[in-house]
Amino acid sequence: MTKQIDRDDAIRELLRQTIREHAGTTERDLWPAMLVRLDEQPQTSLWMDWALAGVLLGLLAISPSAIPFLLYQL
Amino acid sequence: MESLLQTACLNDFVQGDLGAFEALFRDSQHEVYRWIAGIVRNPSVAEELTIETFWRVYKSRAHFDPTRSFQAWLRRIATNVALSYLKSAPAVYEELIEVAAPPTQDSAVQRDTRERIQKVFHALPVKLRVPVLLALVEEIPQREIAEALGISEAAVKARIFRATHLLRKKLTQMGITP
Repeated sequence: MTKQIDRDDAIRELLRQTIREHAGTTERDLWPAMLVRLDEQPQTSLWMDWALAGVLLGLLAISPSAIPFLLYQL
Repeated sequence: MESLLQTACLNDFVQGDLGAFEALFRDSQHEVYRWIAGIVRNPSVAEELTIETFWRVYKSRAHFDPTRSFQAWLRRIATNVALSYLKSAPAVYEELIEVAAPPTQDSAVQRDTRERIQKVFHALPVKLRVPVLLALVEEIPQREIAEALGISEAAVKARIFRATHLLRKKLTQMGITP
């Protein structure tokens, strides 16, 4: 049992020396970056909306007979 | 343990109040960063993943139960974000670890030994490597690791045991006796 603990301590020490403890904290305030991330999301949705509208218009141009059907659904 | 600020802000946060989210963010950002950095071991990646963690927290605020521990929930999300990163970018992780370790005045032989140990360690599966990093290198209590990983304390112990066993075996094969 004692031998096992000694061996565990040895491997723990080896790992500590090899993979050093990460030095603490960041000095930076990350809130501004968080705000940028929060602001990005609606833009992505907007881009998706335009892409979907483009695909829909493309489909209607290929198949104009679908227009009455689409208007009926609206 | 929740701070008084967190307790006061949680209800408003769940309702979508940006001011409450900012207060929670400022109160916890450094702790989340430290936790993630302990797993990914790269400062700039840890910053990005801290933002990603809080983004997920903000997105899923409606699912959070304010009567439960915000800190535990936050740490669980941070752990998942860090694990996803390690699983999706293992090669990048290995390179970054090398950069993250500051150079020392070791001899060439010691440097070679260190590099070999790092390679063996990085070859471990993420699910074994992360508990070892947190428990043996960062010295975080196993109860906290279990909570963050969503497994039992016994499972954490088992993973550390398996990892050290594998490490010792591989290192002995390479002629390095821990």
